[in-house]
Amino acid sequence: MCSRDFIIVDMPEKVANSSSTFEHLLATFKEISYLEQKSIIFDFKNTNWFDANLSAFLGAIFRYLLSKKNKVFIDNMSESISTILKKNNFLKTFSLEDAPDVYNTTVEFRVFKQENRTEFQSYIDENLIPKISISMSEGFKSIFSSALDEIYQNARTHGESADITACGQWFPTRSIVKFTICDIGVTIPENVGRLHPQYSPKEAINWATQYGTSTKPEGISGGVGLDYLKKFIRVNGGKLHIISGQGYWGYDGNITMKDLAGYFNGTVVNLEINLNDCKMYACESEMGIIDNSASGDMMINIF
Amino acid sequence: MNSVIIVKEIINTEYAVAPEDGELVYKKLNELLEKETQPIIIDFEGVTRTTTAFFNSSLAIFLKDFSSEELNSHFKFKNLSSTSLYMLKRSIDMAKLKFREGGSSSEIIKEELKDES
Repeated sequence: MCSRDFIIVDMPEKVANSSSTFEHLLATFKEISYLEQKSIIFDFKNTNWFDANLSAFLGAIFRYLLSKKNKVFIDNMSESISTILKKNNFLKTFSLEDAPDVYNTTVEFRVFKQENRTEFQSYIDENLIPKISISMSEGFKSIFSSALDEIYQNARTHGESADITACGQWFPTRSIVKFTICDIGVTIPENVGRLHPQYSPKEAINWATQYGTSTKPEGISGGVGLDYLKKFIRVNGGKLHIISGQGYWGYDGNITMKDLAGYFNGTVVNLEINLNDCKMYACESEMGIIDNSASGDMMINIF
Repeated sequence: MNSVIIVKEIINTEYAVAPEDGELVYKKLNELLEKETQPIIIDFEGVTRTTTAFFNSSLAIFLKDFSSEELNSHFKFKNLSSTSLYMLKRSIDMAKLKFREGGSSSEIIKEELKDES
């Protein structure tokens, strides 16, 4: 990185769903987050791989820098990476040209404003769920989609984030769908630290992934989004990563945790879904409980 | 004659997902509770998605001040899909842990961790 009239940020060789990528990006973010009214060039000359879902992470960083009246530029991006980031709408969002997504492999990069309460749900239903070509009942799809919405609602309300970014990518040859939700705001370690100051950043994230935990105000109980996704990932053979503040938490059936040297003043939730999964997914409520929605019958004794 | 509230009309969307929308439903139900003697019917017609975040702030929050028996006598549900019922049950379970067992969910967390090992 050098500074005069502009700052150059060297991007890593691989921008992938790995702790080394997150460490690199967090270290970079720590160095540039204080900048105001500068021209910042993200130089991709060394980058030969970019997991498109991480557009959500990069986009959150861009929007943060733009909010500080910086100008952001991309340089030396390879044709292949540029094509992906055009297809998923990332470059268009930052006023660069777009390209048609001929193979329909992208889950469009999207920025949601904090005040937008419901648009994320239709984004998930229309853009992400159709890419997850494993056997899921309608009820399971609905709950899976709601679990992701819980993450979004957390970012809006807990993270107090002005913007939430999201993006995904289907990799047909590797039979994987990757999806990322990112916000810049109050981190999980900050929120958890108010209740449990003894926890390190990684421990705070681990606490937040457990069933029923919540830092919500008095009178409001916790959500199930992360807990539900964690259980799904364990069965599916996928991966779940969370980066927040200095904490890194990864799950692929086993938990990996680290406190990182860098710092990200927000939260990244990163999901990898294994499509080589022949199991049939349904939810408990579809097994043996009569769905009264069709009949309009009254339901009692719910509490 | 029972009072009926149509959730979709209160929140003005088919997505009952945001906690703020849950608060709107909570306020409406709270107003009705003060004057109604008959059970209130909560109708989810036209609601296509729900989250526990919505149910936490609309319905489960009542467990702070009322027992399950009281709430079962106050509220009846209509057009609640099986997946929404699942979400509502999870929300109620968590609220019971929070409000009835000293604000701690440690018991369930221990169970969850046992499941994972």
